[in-house]
Amino acid sequence: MIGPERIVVAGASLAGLRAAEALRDEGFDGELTLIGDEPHAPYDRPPLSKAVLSGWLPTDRTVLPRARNIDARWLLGSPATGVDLAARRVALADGREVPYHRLLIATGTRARPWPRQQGGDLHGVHVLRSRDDADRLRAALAAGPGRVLVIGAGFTGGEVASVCRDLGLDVTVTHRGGAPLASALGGVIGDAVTRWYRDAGVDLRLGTTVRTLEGDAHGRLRRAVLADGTVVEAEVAVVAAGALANTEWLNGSGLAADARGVVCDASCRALTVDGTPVADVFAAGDVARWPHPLYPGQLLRLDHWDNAVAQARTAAHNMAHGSRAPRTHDPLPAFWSNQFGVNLKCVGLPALADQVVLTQGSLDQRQFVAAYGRRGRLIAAVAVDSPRVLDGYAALIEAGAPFPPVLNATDGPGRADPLDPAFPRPADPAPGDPSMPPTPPASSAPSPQPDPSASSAPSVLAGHE
Amino acid sequence: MPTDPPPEELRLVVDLNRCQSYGQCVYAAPTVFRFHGEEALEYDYAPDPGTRREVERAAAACPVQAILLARATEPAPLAPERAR
Repeated sequence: MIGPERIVVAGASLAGLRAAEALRDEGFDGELTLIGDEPHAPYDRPPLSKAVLSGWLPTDRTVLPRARNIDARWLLGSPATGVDLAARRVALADGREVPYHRLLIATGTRARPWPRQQGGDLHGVHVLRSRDDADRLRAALAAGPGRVLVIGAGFTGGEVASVCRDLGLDVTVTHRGGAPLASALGGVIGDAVTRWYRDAGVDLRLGTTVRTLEGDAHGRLRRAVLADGTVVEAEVAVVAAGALANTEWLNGSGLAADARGVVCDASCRALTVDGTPVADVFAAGDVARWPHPLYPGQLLRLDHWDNAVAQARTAAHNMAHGSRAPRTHDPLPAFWSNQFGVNLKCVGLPALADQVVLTQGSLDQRQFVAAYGRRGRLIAAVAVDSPRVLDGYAALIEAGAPFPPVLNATDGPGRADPLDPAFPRPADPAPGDPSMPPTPPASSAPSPQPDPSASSAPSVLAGHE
Repeated sequence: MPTDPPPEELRLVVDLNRCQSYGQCVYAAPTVFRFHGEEALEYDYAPDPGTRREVERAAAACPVQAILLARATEPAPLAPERAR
């Protein structure tokens, strides 16, 4: 390769680590620097909302294995604060400047915070995205609060509520939409998920939002006032209202970046605000938005574990080998969640579907597969406690199979009966929600979890795992 | 006289998209892998070094090869003191 001498990876989590390893695998033998805002070595996030909160796994045992030596310089504990594309320099919060020949942007996302003026500063109000978040929330749950309030019934909200019930804690979950996970999986599956919540003893409040969080004289959370005026007494609140891309440090750089992510092309090159790819700046992982050939006409941002790994590898390949025969990043999306004792796995993007059909099992049994179609083609499948069937569905989706699919599964229904998947309508109003952000265009992918504060646009995303 | 090297750190991660819950790892290394419910795998990313042989057997036995064991021999990255 005609190698650049210095590559800087901004972001030291899953995508950044795997990109660094892939760069060495691809033969890059120059100087490699990883920049991380957290002081921790790269760790895995999926267990934070499950094994860590339940108390089974301490956060210092979620550190990711490193697949090979990378001989990198690690600048941890200091976030990148700016980039000068012309001078090819990244600035850090501690005042250092790091020169690069090629830069990978892998700064990920953070939890959307609760607004300060609505009680976001109270002691007892948590988010869950980082290792430190998980340590704080784990300690708060272990202290045995009288009731936990979870704001948002997306993937993170459901996992937190599920752990709370496993710990014997009373929990109330509020959700703007009509069913948990509805913006990711639709209301048909969401209604089944509603039963998981209720059977586990969760106090689930659908079709409502939290207006304000209120505390006592010591600044400790005591209660939440909902949009309908009802009050929930709680000492701990978990704001599970989606995520924001960590792109503020790119403001003014000339790159096309905002809270929805940094726009790049199919070969992971970052674009400027006028849509021109920058030859020496790439993006990968949760922070990247890009055109996926399977989903024309829109930019995707996927907060999915496997996307971070795959996009990091693609970006690394293209960074190491320049623009000759660049690789395209076009994997079939896949993600999973564990909550209320069931394993839920998904391939494709259900949120784009116009029909859904139950192809195996039954919704009542908590063991089923649902297939999603769009304009007569199979585009996604969700499997609940049926993890071994999904490879077959993935192959059908990638082959452009017709919908409803012909499977002849022994546990299939007698007759395929496609339904409206019941995704939230784009025009649903959001009265009384203080955290309602500007409505993103429908072509965007606004957040990783079905987001109670941004559910007016169908979320193309579905989870961080 | 040579002394035994210190037990090496053991690190692993499972690609749970690829995992199909066959449970071979749970049989091979029951203190490291477990099911929560029928199909949801949980595991320890940093098991006791004494379980290395069991963990290596688990990784080898996985029908979909979803278990990645660390191969790096470099020390883990540390944040500079002033950044802590």
